[in-house]
Amino acid sequence: MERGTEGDSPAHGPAFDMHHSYLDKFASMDSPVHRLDPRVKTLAVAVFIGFVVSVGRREVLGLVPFALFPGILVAVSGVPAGYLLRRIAITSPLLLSLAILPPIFSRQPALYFGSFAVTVGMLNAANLVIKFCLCVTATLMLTSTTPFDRLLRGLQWLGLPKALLVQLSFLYRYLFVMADEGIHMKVARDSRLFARAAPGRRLRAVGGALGVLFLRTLDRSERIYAAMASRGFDGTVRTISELKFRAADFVFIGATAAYCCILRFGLM
Amino acid sequence: MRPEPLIELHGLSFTYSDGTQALDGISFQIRRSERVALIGPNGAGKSTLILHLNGIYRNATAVRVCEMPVTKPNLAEIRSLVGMVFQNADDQLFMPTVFDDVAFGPLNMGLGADEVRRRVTDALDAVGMAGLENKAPYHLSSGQKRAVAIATVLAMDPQVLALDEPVSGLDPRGRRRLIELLKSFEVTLLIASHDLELVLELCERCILIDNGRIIADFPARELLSDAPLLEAHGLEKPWSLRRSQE
Ligand SMILES: Nc1ncnc2c1ncn2[C@@H]1O[C@H](COP(=O)(O)OP(=O)(O)OP(=O)(O)O)[C@@H](O)[C@H]1O
Ligand SMILES: [Mg+2]
Repeated sequence: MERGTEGDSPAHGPAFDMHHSYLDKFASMDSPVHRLDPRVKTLAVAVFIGFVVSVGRREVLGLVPFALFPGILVAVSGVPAGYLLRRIAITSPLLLSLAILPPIFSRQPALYFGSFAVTVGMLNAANLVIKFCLCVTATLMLTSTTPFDRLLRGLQWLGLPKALLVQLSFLYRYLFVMADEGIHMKVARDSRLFARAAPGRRLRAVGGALGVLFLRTLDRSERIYAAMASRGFDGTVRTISELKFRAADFVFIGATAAYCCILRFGLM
Repeated sequence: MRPEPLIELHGLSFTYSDGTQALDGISFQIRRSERVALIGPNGAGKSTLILHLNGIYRNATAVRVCEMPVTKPNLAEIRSLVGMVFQNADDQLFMPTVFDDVAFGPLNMGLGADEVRRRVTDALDAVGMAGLENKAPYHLSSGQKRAVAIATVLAMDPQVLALDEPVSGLDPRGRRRLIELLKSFEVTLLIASHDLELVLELCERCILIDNGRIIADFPARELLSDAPLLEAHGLEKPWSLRRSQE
């Protein structure tokens, strides 16, 4: 299914190559989800998250059908579930530290399974965990099926300030270059027996290296600015918008909205 | 009648803020359709000189492009006349896709969407990179990056192409392709390079600078045959000339 021969395969290139597709690793694949207009996709995910968050804090079973939306996206897009699970796992310490609080503080029973009392706190915690997973999965589906530049155009369409998006775009572009530079410096340092240096000298060397990295970045930004100025940059980044809505986009956003409404208002 | 000068330098000097005098009274002219090489050892001032040609460093009295002094009001026009290809292609490709990058200059020139699309296609065709439009520049190989960097300026349809070290970091095939590509262009060329074989092949005229001064400005073949002069300035006579004369 892979379209490009991008640096995704682990067999390809040196270690720092792996940074390349950190966020939109699977974005160059092809599927109906990938083909959706980024604006529609961004809007649909925003709507979905809005509805999920608005569900009452004690609702647990009612949340489960919401899983259908990210579930279908995952199934249709072909993004490996393992990748998503790993991404969710990365955020789990934060989630667990939040979910552990309600069962401790609200202990009044809400319902009984036989003689087992389920407390309000437990319901709140389960509710929180499910909501979190739903929202994170939906967001991950957005970011991993949309190339970064198109994602930014989607966000721009939704009204995020252009200056911020331009900055994000440059950040994304040059993060890799900077990571490379940092790695090169580390390699140069280690090959000069850095590990054998005394701790005090090491600390100073690290400080110095960070300073140099900063200066190099400054130099680079000056060179990039020169390149931009050479091509007539006057403060506005212009692109030709080639985005076009297709019928499938309207069907998708309509279905998503209807589905969210039915689940949400059916529950009340 | 000789063609009109596109680039004129009259006693250009430049000192960096840390006190390094990088250029010291440089004067020469480049006329339409000339192909000129700028050679000299590391630190001679080649890159600094090139950065003056489109007003990255501005000197209104010493530099004229197409009869215009390099002043702020003239900058936009001068920048569309002089296409600049920098030493490091990574610095030159800053947009998320190859298409956006090549379209960047034409869009800044205020061209319409259709014209911009046409120019992007033509420029990528010219450098043999058609079909890479949607690729992210950071996924390209060094040779491809260099070619796309050239396309980004070709799309602005410049009168002069100034290239700083165009083949550094390319493998022999990439280098060969780039040389053939540059040979196929009709625009006026100014190339700063340490690759004297390339100079010999591409340029009829060669300017040797050292310490910010012009040492010699001769036909390339003549200058590059002068082994003692080259050696005095940290360069070596190209192999192809040595063999042919021994
Ligand atoms: N940003 C800067 N700040 C201070 N000095 C600089 C700066 N850039 C260049 N120089 C100095 O100016 C002089 C000319 O440098 P320049 O980069 O123009 O040389 P070059 O001929 O392009 O060399 P190379 O062949 O190594 O690319 C050098 O002495 C260099 O140290
Ligand atoms: Mg240089």
